[in-house]
Amino acid sequence: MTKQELQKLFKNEILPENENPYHFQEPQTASFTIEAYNSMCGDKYTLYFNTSEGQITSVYFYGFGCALSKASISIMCKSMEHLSPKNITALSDQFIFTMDQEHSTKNADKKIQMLQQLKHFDGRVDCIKLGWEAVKNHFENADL
Amino acid sequence: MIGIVKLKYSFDIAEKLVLLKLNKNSIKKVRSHFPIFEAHPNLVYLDNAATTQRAQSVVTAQSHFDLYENANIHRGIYDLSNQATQKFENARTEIARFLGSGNANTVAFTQGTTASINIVAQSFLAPRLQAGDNIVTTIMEHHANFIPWQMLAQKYQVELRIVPIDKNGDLDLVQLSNFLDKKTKLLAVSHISNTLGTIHPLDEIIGLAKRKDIPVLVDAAQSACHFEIGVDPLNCDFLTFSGHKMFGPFGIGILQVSEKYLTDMMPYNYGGGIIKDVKIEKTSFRNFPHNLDAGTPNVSGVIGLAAALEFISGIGKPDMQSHLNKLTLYALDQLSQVPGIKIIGNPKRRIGIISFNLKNIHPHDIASFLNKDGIALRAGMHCTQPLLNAMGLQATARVSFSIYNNEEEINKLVVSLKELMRFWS
Repeated sequence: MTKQELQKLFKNEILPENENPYHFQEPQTASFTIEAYNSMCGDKYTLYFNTSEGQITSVYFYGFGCALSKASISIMCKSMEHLSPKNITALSDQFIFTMDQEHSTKNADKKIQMLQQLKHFDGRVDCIKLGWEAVKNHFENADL
Repeated sequence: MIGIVKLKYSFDIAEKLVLLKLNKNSIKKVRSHFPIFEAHPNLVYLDNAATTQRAQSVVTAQSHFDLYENANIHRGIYDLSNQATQKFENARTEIARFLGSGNANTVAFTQGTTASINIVAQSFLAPRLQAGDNIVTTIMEHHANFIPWQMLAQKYQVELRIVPIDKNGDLDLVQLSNFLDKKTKLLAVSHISNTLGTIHPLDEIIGLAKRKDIPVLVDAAQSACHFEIGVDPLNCDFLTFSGHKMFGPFGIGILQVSEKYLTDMMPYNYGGGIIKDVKIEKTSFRNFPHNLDAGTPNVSGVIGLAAALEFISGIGKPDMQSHLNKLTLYALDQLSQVPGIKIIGNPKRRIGIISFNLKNIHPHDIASFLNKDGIALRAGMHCTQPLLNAMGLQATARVSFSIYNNEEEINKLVVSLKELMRFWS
């Protein structure tokens, strides 16, 4: 990625999401929380899930991290609302798989597609995957 | 007798550098000893606290051994092995001399600082610990000089006493003094903070411990390259450092032990090479440092490290220190002109390492953008999570200098940071 491409990416995609993240606040209540933490760099977020009748009704997040991790979690939270835990597992699985593999299927969501196109971003893939991996690990180990 | 193949090219780089003073012109000459800058002429390498670049003389010495002199040491009754053994042990003698000691048997080869500290934890300290004892370290330590003591403290039910810092990033020496008592079995402290660049007042710190006959370990990973160190000059008992932070190879480091505690160093890793006698019922071991060398050591790494120390001696540590001091002061002055910057810490004495944050920009984002300008710096916690937590920080950007850096590179850094601030806002 050239400097101009990096600037364009941040200006058009990352910074708007970083500056106006979706549901970036600590809600009064939550059905359960998930911690997304990268001990190598210190990025740390708490993800707040609310559920009703087996569906995820809302996802909030709050914490500290780089523009990429924050933008990625913001996009993730929005995409996971109104899904079942089973579908969230599938979505996070598919996202991580796409980030890790050379050939993989595209997600229909344009913002998720944008994130997935950054799979070769030097040294920053962990930032993008941080929240998704935390969710994937949680739901894989949860009794759905 | 097998003849040793002679090199066809000059091998006296250290000799050439003897009269070299690190002024503007000589920096170019110093850079010419680091081939990385030929491969990357525009590289502004400011991550020297993580690893320095490799000097040509180091690579040459290593590859010469590997290509023309390779044999296992201490094993063979043939010329090539004897010559390899001699070179290996000569390197130990040279390294001892570099550390101000005439006793090569105080010097053990390890994989690096982390390994050296863990060896002290397992080989020296663990067998001496009893419930109710304490170990003293500081909040400013690299994880490598923190977790081994924390693990021992938990396993042996001893107290881990952690010396705090003040708001400037200096150690609280009053608290340190109060922590040291009859039950203190070790004081473990770094020479220079790898995050803040603080130079700890080792004379005073070690003096406090010595008055109570407490053994002291000094983590010299960030100072070995440009400070006079050694268990004798510093009056400490354990000294640890890594080759790769002083122009040497990866995977080789030093543990030096004071003569007082040489016989207290027990084997921690068992196998060939460290034994006096093996019987079915019992094994007896050689003395330190040979009781640590189970298995085949990193012979070419040792040769490379000796070459690195020769290179450093050729330049001279006082000149290196002076150059780093000037760069550090210049960088602090120039960085302070970047809008939105916060320099982390303001210790009484610092050298070579500066951590900072930019308003609203995460250190990883700083590093990504500066990378596009050819500037290599580090971002994150720098393996000092307790320190950052104590300072209320999650991460910092860090620049760290070496002899091949110059003011022009700091100017480029400042221009890039200013541009990034404009872009972000």
